Amino acid sequence: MDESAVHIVENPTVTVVSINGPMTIDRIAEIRDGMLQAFGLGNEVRLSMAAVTEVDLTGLQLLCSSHRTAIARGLAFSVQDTDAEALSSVIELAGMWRYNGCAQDTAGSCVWKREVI
Amino acid sequence: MNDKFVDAFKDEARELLGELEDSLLEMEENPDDLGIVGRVFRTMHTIKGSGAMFGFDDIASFTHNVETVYDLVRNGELPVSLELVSLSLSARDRILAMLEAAESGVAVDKEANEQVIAGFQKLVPSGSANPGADLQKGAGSDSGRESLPGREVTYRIRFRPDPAIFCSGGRPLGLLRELQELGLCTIVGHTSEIQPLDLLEPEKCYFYWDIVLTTAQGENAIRDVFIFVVDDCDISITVIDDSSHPEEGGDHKKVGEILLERGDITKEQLDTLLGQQKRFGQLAVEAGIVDHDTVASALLEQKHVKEVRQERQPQTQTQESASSIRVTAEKLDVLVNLVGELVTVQARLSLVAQELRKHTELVSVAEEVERLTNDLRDNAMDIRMLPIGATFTKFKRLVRDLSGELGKVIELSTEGAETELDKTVIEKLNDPLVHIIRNSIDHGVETPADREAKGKPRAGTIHLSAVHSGDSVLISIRDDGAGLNCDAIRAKAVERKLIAPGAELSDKEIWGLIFAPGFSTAGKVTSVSGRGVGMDVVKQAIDSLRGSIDVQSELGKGTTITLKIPLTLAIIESLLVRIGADRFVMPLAMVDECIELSQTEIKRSHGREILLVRGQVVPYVPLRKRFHIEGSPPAIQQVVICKVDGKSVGLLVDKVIGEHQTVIKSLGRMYQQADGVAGATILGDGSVALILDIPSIIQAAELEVA
Repeated sequence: MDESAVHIVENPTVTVVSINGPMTIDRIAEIRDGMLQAFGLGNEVRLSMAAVTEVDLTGLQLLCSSHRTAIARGLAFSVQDTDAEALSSVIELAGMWRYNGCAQDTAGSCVWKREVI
Repeated sequence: MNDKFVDAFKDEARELLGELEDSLLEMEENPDDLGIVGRVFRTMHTIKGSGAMFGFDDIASFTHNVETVYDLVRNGELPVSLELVSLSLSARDRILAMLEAAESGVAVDKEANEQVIAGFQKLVPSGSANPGADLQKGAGSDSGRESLPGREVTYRIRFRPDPAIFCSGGRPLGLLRELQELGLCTIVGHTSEIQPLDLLEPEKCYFYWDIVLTTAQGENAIRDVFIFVVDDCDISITVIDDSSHPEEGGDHKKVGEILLERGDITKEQLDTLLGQQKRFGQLAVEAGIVDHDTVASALLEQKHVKEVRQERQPQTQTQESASSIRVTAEKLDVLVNLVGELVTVQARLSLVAQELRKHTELVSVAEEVERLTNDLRDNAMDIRMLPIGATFTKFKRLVRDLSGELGKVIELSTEGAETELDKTVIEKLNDPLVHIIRNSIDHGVETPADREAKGKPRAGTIHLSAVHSGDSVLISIRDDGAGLNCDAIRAKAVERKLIAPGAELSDKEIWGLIFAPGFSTAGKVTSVSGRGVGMDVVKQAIDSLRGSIDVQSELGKGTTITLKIPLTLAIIESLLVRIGADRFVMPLAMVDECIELSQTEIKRSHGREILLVRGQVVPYVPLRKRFHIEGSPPAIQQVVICKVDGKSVGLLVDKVIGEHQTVIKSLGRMYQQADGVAGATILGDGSVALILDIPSIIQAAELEVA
């Protein structure tokens, strides 16, 4: 595995992106570029957070932004493995969980949707 | 010092001192329980604070010194020691003395105060805060941010950080975490301004937050959280719910109102949308006025406030029911007396209504009055009921002090402190219980050396328990001491000419001798007991409460004295009976059943006063004969079968009239000694009926037979 923050695996129909290490402000520009690159491939994007060690508000912001990018481009986008305590506690604290997605989220694919808040 | 607030303070202080004593003794038993230490500290703190407020500066400054030491204990810098407890108990006594000095005008023993303070100062290790120096600060110098207990306020906070906050090192998450620590917190992060990746400046903050926070810490605590970012960020804080206004119902504002208040929509927009039959939030989103997040945030605020209010509801109710007013005992006595009169008059009314049955209106009014009177009576009686725990607590101190004085080690355990008894009964019980416990400490429990020699644990125990039993309370005092020495008691009784030298007595009868006037077996007179007053006083006091005493003892093992005390002295449920033209009242609690007795049955038993009840032979006492009532009995008489000390004995009467609410009146001084009569009551028709003292009637009859 390389040292970079974003690792992209291109499959025929799905692009799988994994973020490694901290997803925080000092690496956020790099991660943003990685995500743009992934969406540039024109396929569904699956983002794995399993290797994320830390997240801050810029990281959460980036997830929202990625989702909006996907909607604008008509691509499917999903975020996986956010259950780790280090992630879920920040998501909770920032008040992100939702019953319904945002205005753009017509397909109901909001990253923050939960049955129970 | 006639101010009623000052009086209220004195009352409160006395109560607090009582609690303090309780906590201190508990602390001695559980020196590691910081909860108790905290309680002691808080009690001291309250006494200090309210003392200063009402001008008791001496109490305030004295208590402040003690409190300072407890602060160290609370922080684990000073251990709970026997010395600390003893000093604290003396400190408690000094505070009480100061309180009383303020009342009586007698000067306080300043030297004693200083001694106690000096004692405390010795306990403080050098290097810790010096209580002497602390005194300079004076009372009431507590840190500013003390929470207002019980007054929870819900705030709506909108926090819109400066977009550059991340780059300037600000950490909004940290602020949110701090808010969370202040109380129940609902946080909604707004994402609506976040741009797609190609437009996103990833280090810029697009978030803003709506926070609903319920806290007792006050608005300043919230402002403190934002203190370092306040210049760059938009922060608005609004009170949306206040627990000190509980009259507001369970439901919070409508979504539309919340959005309007937050400035997310205008009044016109609200009015336009309200005209339509749909959920407002949905409409607002569809109309493009607000986004989902904003509505979700408003909905969450609704949910938050609703939860807070639901949580508060039962709490407010318990607070209300727990709130109390102070009423002097005299007022209560007057109330109970009036209720007693009312019960009597009501009985007359019912009687009159019975006679004038045709007036159905009168009968129904009389029934209504009867129902209300019964409720009133029960309530009035209930008001006077107090748990016996407060009395038990006093004994903890007594046992601690006396056993120390006599060089004995005694542990007092209690059970059933919550058992309730009429206030007057509790008051009258105090002295007899003190006598019994003193006796147990002095004569009962042996010295540690003696105990060890006998193979008993070093520490003796005295166990106090109270338990309800029917309309009585059983209070038992059990010690594991030497037990009653029958031979010594017998010898003493012979010496005092209480019994004949060769009298044959059962153990129980011998034990009963300790209640004879002037009886004491203690060889030497100690300050504790042994002056020959004591147990006979106990007997008199318990008799006057219509109670009974039972003694159980085993030589070398210990003694248990059980007092059976009626719950109340004022009104009892009873059975009204007639003999000739006279009427008598029997406490219903003792009555088992009533059966008829015909002349044939009397003849069948050949002059012996017994009858068969379901195969069991039951002796009876003909009351007509006992009370020398003239005239002849009816052909069919009735026997009221009573249970006394587990035995069934009948009382023969002419007729059982029925149940009766008896307001007990004591007999005049001239008739106090009348045998077999415990008091009197006034019946509905204004005539007097005597209340029978069933145990003494049966006892007298037994003696005659024997």
